[in-house]
Amino acid sequence: MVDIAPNRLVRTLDGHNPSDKSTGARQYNDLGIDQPDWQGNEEFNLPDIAVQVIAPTSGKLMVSVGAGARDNGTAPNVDGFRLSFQVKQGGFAGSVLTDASTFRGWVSSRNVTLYMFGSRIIIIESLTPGNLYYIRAVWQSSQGTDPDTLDWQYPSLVVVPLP
Amino acid sequence: MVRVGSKIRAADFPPSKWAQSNTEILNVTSTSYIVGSPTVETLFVAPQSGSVLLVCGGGFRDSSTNRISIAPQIRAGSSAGSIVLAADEITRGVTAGSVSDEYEFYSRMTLLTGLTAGSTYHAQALYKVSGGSSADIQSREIAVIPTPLGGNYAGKPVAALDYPDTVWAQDTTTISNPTNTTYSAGSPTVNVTFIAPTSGRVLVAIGGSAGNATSSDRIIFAPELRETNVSGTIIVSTDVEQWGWGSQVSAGYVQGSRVSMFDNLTPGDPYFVRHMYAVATDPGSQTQDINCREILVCSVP
Repeated sequence: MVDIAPNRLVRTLDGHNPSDKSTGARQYNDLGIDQPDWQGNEEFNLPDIAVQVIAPTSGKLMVSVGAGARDNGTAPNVDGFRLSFQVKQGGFAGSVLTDASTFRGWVSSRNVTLYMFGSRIIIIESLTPGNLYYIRAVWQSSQGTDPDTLDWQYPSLVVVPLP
Repeated sequence: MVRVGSKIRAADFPPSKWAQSNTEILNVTSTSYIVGSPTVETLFVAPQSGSVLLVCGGGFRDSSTNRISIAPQIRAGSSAGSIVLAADEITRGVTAGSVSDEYEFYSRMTLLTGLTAGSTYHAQALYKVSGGSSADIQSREIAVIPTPLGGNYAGKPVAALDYPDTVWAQDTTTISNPTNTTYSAGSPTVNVTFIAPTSGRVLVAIGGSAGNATSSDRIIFAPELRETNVSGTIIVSTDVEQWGWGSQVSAGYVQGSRVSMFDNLTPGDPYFVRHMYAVATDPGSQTQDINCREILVCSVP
């Protein structure tokens, strides 16, 4: 965690290493997701929505997660869609450094029967500069109902190294 | 801005700053902006460009129809300095929908320009409620990210294309009861032109403020990306599902944004992106309004 200081050469690692994005499928319908598990595409036998990124000198990354979501079930048995991300060391098989949380995610209102769209930006700090991290989008529902009527669209993940 | 031929300086890249509190605040009653406890604040130094990305958001709910707003405030120098940017949810903040009895979480990204390079500023997330005493907050956060972002590989000379300026446009004209179910650019139009950076990648944030009616169709926003200008070939068409933002069926205005990355742009080519809006074809009336529209483009490495 080194700020770019006067009289020091600026390096590629100083927040200029590549940013990346990953996006899921257009539509996930009536999928039975529930608490407390956080699930990603991998759990649905689909390619993970994830990016690998090298932490910049600052140790800071901007992470944006966004989607559209609704629950067109019958009130009050309605669920909010919670989209967050895990930060893993190295790759998919790496240990989880920061787990998913609604504190670090986009969460739809559980009372919307029509799609709402948006995103949330989180800054991750204190990563080790130069180390490789694997960031994957994961989700859960706020309560879980049976039958599940929660739908969501285009879960997306954007990661940008910051100065 | 980072000019061609100029040396890269540390002052071009002051640190990004972030503050967040996940301490729950129950039964908010203040209808004017307050700082709360704990406070969510940070100092930052303005970069040479004088422009920073400003992100503000959080999580909020209400068992009734009261709506929490969270908005950024900027002061010069310190927490005691003069106010440079007053907290205002319509142009900079987020507001909850009127029908969320469980926590919903989202944020908004805007661009703050005209800061004095090298000067210290104080950024803080403030909050208020539309009324009542039953609305709660779970999270509050603020981020300040100096621009330009960008870059190139180590050992390469710096070129202007590595750090194009971040650009945005915002308009607060009220558009009452729009009825267009196909996308319109509106009047005035809200658009920017930009040069694609070395990486070919940009962040696009579309957002604003819309809603203000229940039993109504939602209003949706989406960016449209073209080559060169308004007459250019469409590269990315309007698609709220992929990269747009939408109001909720809400008694008040809802604010927020959607941040996406557009990639594979041709470095050095000029592009044109504009804010487009439409009324969703919901089974309701067409009685929602818009009172802020914005589009932001930030080059990223």
